Amino acid sequence: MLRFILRRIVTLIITMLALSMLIFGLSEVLPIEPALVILGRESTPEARAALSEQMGFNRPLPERYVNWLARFISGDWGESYRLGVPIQPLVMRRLLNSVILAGFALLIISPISLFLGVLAGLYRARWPDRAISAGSLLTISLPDFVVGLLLIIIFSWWLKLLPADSSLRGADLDLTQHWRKLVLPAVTAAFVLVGYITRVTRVSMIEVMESPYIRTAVLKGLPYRTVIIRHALRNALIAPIAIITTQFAWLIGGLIVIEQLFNYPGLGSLFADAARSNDLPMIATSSMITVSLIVFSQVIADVLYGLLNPRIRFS
Amino acid sequence: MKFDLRALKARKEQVRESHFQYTQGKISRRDFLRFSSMLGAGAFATGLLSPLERFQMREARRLLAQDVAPTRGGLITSALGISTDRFDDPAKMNSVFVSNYVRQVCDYLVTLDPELNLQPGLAESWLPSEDGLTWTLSLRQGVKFNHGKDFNADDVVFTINRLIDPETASAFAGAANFVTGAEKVDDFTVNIHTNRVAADFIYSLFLYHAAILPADWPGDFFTNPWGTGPFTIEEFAPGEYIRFQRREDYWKLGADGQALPYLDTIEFVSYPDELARISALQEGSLHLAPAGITLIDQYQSLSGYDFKSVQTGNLHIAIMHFNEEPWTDPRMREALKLTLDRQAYVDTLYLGYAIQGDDHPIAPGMYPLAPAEQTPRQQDYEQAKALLAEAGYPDGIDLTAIYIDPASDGGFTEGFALFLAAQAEPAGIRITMQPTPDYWNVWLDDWGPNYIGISNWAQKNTASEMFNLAYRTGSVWNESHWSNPEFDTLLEEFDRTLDQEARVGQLAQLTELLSNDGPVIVPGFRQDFATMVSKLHYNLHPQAFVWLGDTWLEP
Repeated sequence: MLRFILRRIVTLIITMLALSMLIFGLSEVLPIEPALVILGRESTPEARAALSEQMGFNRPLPERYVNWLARFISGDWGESYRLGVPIQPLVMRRLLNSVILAGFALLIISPISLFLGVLAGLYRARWPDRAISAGSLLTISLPDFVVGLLLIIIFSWWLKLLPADSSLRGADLDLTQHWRKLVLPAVTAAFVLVGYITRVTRVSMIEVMESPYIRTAVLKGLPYRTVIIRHALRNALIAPIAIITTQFAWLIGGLIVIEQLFNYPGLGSLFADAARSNDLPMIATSSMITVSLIVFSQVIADVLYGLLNPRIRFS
Repeated sequence: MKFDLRALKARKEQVRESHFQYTQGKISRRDFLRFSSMLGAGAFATGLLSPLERFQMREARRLLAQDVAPTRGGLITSALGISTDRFDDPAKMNSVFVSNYVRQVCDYLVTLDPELNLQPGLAESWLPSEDGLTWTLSLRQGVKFNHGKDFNADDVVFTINRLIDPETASAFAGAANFVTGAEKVDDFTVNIHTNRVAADFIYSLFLYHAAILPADWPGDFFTNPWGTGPFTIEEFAPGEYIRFQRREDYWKLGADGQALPYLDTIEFVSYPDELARISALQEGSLHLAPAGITLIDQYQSLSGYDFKSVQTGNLHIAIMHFNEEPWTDPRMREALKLTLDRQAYVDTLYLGYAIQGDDHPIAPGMYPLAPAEQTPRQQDYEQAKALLAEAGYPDGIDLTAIYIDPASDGGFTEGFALFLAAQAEPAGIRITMQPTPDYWNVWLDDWGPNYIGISNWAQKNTASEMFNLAYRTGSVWNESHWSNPEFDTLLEEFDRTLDQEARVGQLAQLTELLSNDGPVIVPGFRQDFATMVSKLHYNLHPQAFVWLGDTWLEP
């Protein structure tokens, strides 16, 4: 087991290194001239050349890559061109907001999709399965901004129950005050994932129910409920839990459309603003963070799967 | 509540009949509306009017309402013309949106009000010397900065001299390149020296970079937002949110004799997504926001909000390189200009919320010394085809249009590009679209033969500023590469003449030269839009400047 984990960690480091080179390389290729972004279009070429020299843009490429990577690892993420503030505290604040929103969404997704998936798997080909399969297909197909808009129209404009504007007006996220602002964005994010995870759970449940050891348990005379709860569930839920772990990363860094629609100050909208305004250090940092989250979550999911799956745990 | 459908229908019919009479000119609009509201169908009646009519009515009401005394207090949240980007140095500002937060905290020596009249600000009066090379400004007394210092000539000298200092690298130095320095005469008098006679000098004091900073300013406006303006910055989260608080000791007085501002608190909140903005408006968590023509129905259907527009001198422009084929031939330039139906531009792209242009950037009524109206050239396909044939293109010509791609500006420039292509086609000028992501890297370069560029410009303070930026031979932003010695000489004269009446004639000559011989097409000048709660009294500025010092909210 230990070797399993160790191997995963080595893969993690190699992947991150390769991806960091890719991200740095891409930011070099982008037709963004940093001095132009900082000083604006009205600046003189001489002023821009002076600034470029000052910021070290004329050093050789490998040297700049190593400097950048070293600074990134040590937590010095530079200064935003557009906002002129250090990136690290800004990103950490947005990251916290996104993590909380993601947590909220997961709280909605997990019980619903696991329960529905298990139900669909148990009643395979009967009406609960058909209904749940059709429903999950629907939620997967609807784009997130459509879902978001529908929820806004129903719950904010017609029923006036929940706010459509989730901007925090510069304040720090305080759950006791701001929880209502999180509901609609979280439900919107949950919508798509619920469908996906329900389907995964359903397939996993079906597979488990058809396996020999379940048949043995039934033939042994165990009550059906015991078979499900003691044997089937803990095996069927391994795969969905691993997948939920990977989706957590998407929920943190990938909710660009939802964050923009609700004006929620999360990581996704920070990334989108950076891309729109050619803010190179912010783009590079956001990419690294998102990529790190995804790679980390994959590794954790793998390890989790290994821990839960007895075949791997005891190998 | 009883709801009599038949009676309702009958009433609607009466209102429709009355509206028909109004459109026939038999009754006035006021009588039509009065009759309709008597029937209790006022809203329905208003719905029968065109958007422009409704806008005119609201404007008339607003002007009347200004005679009402303003009420003090309140908080408003605005997304209009704002930027929440952090800025170190007002001298280095590169967009009007960033200047809009500096504008609440700092004052300028002079201002242009929403009617584009020059108003004294921190300078009460100004006088040129005999030779026109020195301007003497009398400064306002009794003004305090928000960090305690009293305002005096030292601050003006400090601000102006750093603006023109090459080390500061401010765009002011380029736009007002004739200013050579400022010197203190006494505590409340300053002399500003220029290296040539500059008749429009005073307008350059309202360039958005020229916010007056105190002489003891240590730098970094984010940490030290020191100014003489009506508000102070309470909270600033870059990229998201700014909150301003009222100052007690501002120098300007309101209609009630007390110091401005009327409002207590202002919030600037960033809403990059238009739908999110409309959501917030619908919800009531936003009081003042920009609006667009594409979603005009949504904006106009918000209850409790007014959709307002203001005419600007902002324009779309098509650029034909004066030094490249086929635009070296004046007949080709004229031919393309003749294919445009400018009224169609106004009606199709802006639903009537624009005025026609005549191939020069000086919008009538929007610049000092400009005429109030103009009659642009009319569409004439026969003449266009004849000119093309004369110039050697009897079968027409194929052109490529380059412009900033829709992903960057939301399709704003492409809208005009497509319109131009459609208008030019019947004359045999076939234009292919080529959106160019790095347009701003190539806009000043030579493009080769058979290209046309599409872009847009914002209004400037004076015609002189616009001409010197982009139309004089060799000027720094001369994107069309135009060179006309007669224009250059006349422009020089225009800049140096202090006699305003003579200048009116000179400006007319300049615009005519540009319109006839010039290599640009200006189809029209659009209006800017905003939506605000009906209780808010705020005047939109044509140049997208936002100043909330004299804005007030009804209780």
